[in-house]
Amino acid sequence: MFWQQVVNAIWLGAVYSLFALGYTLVFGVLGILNLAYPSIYMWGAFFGLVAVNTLHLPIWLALPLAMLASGLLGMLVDLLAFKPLRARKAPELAALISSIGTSIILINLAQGAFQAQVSRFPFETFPVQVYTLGPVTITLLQITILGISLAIMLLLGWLIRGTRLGQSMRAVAFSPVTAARLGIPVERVIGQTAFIAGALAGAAGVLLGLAFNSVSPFMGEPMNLKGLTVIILGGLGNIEGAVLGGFILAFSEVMSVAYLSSDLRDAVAFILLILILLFRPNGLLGRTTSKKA
Amino acid sequence: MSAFSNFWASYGSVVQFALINMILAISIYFTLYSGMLSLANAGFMAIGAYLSAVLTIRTGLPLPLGLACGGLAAAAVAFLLGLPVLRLRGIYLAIATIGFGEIVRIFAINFDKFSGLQLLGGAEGLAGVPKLTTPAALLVTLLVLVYLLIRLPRSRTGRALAAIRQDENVAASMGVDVFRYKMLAFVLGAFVAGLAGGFDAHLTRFVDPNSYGFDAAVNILAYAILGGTAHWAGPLLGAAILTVLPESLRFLQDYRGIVNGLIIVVVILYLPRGLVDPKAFHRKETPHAEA
Amino acid sequence: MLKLEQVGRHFGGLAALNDVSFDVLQGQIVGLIGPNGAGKTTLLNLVSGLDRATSGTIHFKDQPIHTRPAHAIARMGIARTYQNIRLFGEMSVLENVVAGTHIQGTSGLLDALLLLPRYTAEERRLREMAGSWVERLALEDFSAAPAGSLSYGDQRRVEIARALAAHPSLLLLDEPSAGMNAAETGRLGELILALRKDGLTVLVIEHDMAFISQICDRVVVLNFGQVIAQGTPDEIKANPAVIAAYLGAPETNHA
Repeated sequence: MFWQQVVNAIWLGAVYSLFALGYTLVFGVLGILNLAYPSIYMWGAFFGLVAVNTLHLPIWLALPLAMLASGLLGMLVDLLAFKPLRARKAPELAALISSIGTSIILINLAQGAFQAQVSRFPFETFPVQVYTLGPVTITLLQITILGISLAIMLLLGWLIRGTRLGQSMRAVAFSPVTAARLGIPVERVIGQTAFIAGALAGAAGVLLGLAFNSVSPFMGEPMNLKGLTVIILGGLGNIEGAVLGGFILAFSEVMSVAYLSSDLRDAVAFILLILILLFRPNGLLGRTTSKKA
Repeated sequence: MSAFSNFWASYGSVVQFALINMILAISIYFTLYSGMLSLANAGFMAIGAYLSAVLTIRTGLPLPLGLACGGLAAAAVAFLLGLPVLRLRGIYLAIATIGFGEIVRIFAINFDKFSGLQLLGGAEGLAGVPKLTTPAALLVTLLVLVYLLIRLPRSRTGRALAAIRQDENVAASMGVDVFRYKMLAFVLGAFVAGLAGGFDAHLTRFVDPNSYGFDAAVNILAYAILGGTAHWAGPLLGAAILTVLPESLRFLQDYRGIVNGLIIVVVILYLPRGLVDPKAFHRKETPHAEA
Repeated sequence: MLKLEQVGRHFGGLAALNDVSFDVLQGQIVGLIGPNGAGKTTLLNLVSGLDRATSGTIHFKDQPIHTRPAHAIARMGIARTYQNIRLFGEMSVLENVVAGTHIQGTSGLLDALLLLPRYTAEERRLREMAGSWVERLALEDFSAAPAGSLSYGDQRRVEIARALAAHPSLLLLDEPSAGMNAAETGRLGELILALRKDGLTVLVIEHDMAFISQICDRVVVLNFGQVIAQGTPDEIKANPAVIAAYLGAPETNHA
């Protein structure tokens, strides 16, 4: 039983980490908490659903397409909701409020476009195959989700550490003013970061939509707080922290559902959030340096 | 007289909801006035709603007492929550208050199940709340609150809160006990939100735990943002507009909610001081950096 | 009145202040000078409670203040101005100064709501106090103007008025004459000397040596976070270590 939960927590943690990475990237590079991010995640799931249902694409094509579409959505959101605020140097709470409004717009658009009820990926989307290893069962889908999540995370890691874009992103994250002086095209880097974050959210959306076989305009709601919990656990803007936080949340959720009660699953995220805010608001891996102007 | 009766028959409840939302807007005004972004007021509203409803149902308590208990309970919870949370920096405070709201919701839904009592109604909510809210009661409450808002900037307390909003460190060096004043604003806002919750429960005759979640908290924020917080009339106007608007936009059906979101974004982008902006009337202003 | 003993402020391995010790006796006007980055503002932050010393002690009127919060220190009688002006820009000049009278009042929200006599009397008293400081700092003409619309030098005077409104016994000034012309600076100097006659003690950070000579009894010189000299303005001007610090040290751009 215990090892089964561990296995469950691992693939769930991978997807949570994927989600958290985009979330924390935006905070790190743009300096804002984009509360519309879970709505982009939800739209990613729908992009995938439309690709499969309407365009009749196989899932291995639908996923990258959905990532592309959500990436573009992420860029669009930044362009419309955040860029004007950067231009007039508005306080950080203004961006937070703008992201809240954007989130409402995105959710209602989805409601109008896709109806409020739960949609599902068609049965043939992914082969049903169950493997048993001793006391543990795992499906091919779950293995694939784990694999894809890890692959995307490794790709992201290479991007951030090994490419010039990644270098620029880190420079802008440290100090946009300094980065600009060094000749880095800050706005372009921001746009690219918004794209990458959107793509990550979209990937998480499709993967979780497949995993739980449910896609709805409200699927972003629980991710509101789970996402916040994860990135705060790890430290806002901290890449490794996002991954750590993702796994911590997954483990806590899975264990509390298994050993306590399933009603408490959503409460787990909030309890973790309050605890970390009380004792280490900078996160487990965060530092005390504040972002420079 | 019959024209009024006709009007009231059709729009009476909308007017009362607008009044309740105005009270809610005032509740978040206190925290915004002090420079804090708190999204906890929907949670405090829920506390006020549940407690006052349970009291009137179970003990037949008259509404004013039920409301007062609901408000005081919300205030007490705010005090306990504020102790750890008010020390947090802007964005972390906002997040903590979002979390609080959700915990209240989950608590309300699961309370009956875990306590074995039949008190709060679980996920389906608490029904059978007597309809005790009257427009007169709402108006009186609102008038008292408006009086409070008018007196606030001309009081030592109000100046301290305004100083905290503009520059916490300077306020502290001026002798202002920042934490204590923030707590005051936070608790006061919670009390008022609790009152609004009590009124709401006794108007709709129902307490639905899902109506006090993140969306509700955002709506309350929207009232204040739209109307602007530079002047006390701002939140009232914002609440009035955002209550009436969805009613008149029924034809948009599923897309109705978009308007709320659009308003928030458009206002924060282009009208950061909101609709009621005394500065807009003073042409002699030398232009200087906006908020 | 103010006693610093081996005060240090370290950030990880970096020492912004190290082993700083000096006294400010009651009724003295002490100048704090040094090249940019010497740690002068950091020192002021430690005294006013905006920041915490990592070592050493600070005593004010024989009470330890290095562990107390800023608002408590303010209540003990210390007020300050800032290097980068931190006025409440959108409030009027008068309102800024009235805000500064916070410690001088005791009424709370309930008193204001019920319009109790103690509130109305106190309001009038606080506003009169503020008004008289506005006059004393020659700001009556701008009394109703938004503080942010004034010239740099005038804004500095508003900050000083706001600090004085708290009726402190020790006033900390961070480069008060920056942005003022010679005439304004001279008037500011006379004002500070007059305030000293009323019993005020002053610790002032400055770069303007003429101003320092005009008003200071003693000068403390900081460089790289350490005290390199103390004495009268004349002694300091002749001190070879001080001269070397100003002329020999490379130009640094951070405060």
